Amino acid sequence: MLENGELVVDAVSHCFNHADDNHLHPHAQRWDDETYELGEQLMPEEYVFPEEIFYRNHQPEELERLLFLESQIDYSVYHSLPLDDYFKDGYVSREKGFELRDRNPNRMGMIVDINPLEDDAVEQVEYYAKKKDVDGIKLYPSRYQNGRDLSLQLNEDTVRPVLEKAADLDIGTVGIHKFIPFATAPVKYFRIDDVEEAALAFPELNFEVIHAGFSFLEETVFAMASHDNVYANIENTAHMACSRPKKFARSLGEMLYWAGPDRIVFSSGATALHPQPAIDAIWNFEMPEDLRAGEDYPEVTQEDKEKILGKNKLRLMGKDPEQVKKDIKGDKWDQKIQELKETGEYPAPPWSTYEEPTEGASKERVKYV
Amino acid sequence: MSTEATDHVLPTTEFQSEVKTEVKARLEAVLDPCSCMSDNPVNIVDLGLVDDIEWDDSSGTVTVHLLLTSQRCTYFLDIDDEICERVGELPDVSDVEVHQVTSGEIWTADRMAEDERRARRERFERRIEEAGITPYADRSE
Repeated sequence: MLENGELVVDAVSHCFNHADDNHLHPHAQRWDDETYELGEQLMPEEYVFPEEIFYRNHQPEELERLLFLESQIDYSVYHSLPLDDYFKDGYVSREKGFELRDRNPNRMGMIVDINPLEDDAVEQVEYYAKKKDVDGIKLYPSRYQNGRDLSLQLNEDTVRPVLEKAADLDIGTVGIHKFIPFATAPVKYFRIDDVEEAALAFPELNFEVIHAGFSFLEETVFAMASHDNVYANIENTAHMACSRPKKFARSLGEMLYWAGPDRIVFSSGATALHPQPAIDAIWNFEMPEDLRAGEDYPEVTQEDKEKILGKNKLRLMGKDPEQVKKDIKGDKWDQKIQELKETGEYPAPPWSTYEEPTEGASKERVKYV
Repeated sequence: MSTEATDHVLPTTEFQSEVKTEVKARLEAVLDPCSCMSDNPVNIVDLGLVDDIEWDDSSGTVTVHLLLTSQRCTYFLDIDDEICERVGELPDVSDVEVHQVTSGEIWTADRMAEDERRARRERFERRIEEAGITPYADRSE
């Protein structure tokens, strides 16, 4: 929760499995290493993981402590990932997400991955919407199967039935990975043109384009300005606020100038990244004067920051902020937070709440477990 | 020697060394792979990716330093291959090395050649205008 009592809502968290025995493909190690390097590049040194913390199978109870004790996040939406071409459990398993939501029904949402190439993809959408009450579906723009990179754009025949079913069931949000190419997939798969077509064809769905602002910025703001149901999910981009403030300023400035502050949603990207430095950096962010004067970028108001850090995502999910505050008040996390506040230790130090005490780990690590 | 107050190589950058000048010309033929997916491919010099060109005439080695738009660029190897191929064709060059700048310096659009940056912005604004989009900032006034 922000110092002024407003909620911090995280539109994407994951519980990654970076363990060696999860690898299914030679490129899996590359995924792990690039994800680690991303953290090194985007976060202040004190937030970069010890390697022994990172290269392992992260557990739900670790993620919930990371979110709720080590950062100001009050509510988070877990995204499972469909990367079972590379990792045995898809990299971020569905099971962990549902476990997290079951443990924290007032603090966790769930967006489930769907692979449109699977024969029962449409049935899966129906099952997860009706039986598991998910908050949306997560798609990837490309798959690697049988030695080939396959396109899975939102305007393709393979994907359309999945979107039609999602629209029929009023599933709410479609999260689509974009902007950061991976492995050997052609970069054209990570452009946003297909999202525009889908947004037009399915006005009842909201499309969260993940990693918005990281690349293809002008295409992104064009899509946002053209379609009210296109949202910028700034997973990873949010962390540029603390490591690449000028680049972040330009990304945020373009979005605010063309599309306004109502369709930008913060994401922590945990466990790949630590949430808190991005929250701090956005809360303290000021648009540089040269960009305000030279590019007409607006001042970023406190109201804008509250929207980006929480209110926008809650609105997108149809949740009342005051009700969420009531629901979490006095729960087990709130009690622990109050205890930490009393000793001036909230948020808890980076990675201090992780399960395994390791060589070089601070005493605090064991303390909060 | 550069005619511009930049610390990286741009189309307007001039070198006293003939070899470096020829290398720059070859680099201007290397297109950024990501831009090739758009209607307007951009070469790596216009894009501001070339941080420096070194020439060692005793060994015949050219070293090209690249600052990529993202440290996670998965196309570095493709760019590397094409640079080695094109620059390696120069008669005085016996070896080509391509280094990725990892000093922590960040690529931003400010590094692009001014003409390219202006042209890109004009294309974007033309598209916005054709779509009849009013900026949110103007709408809310």
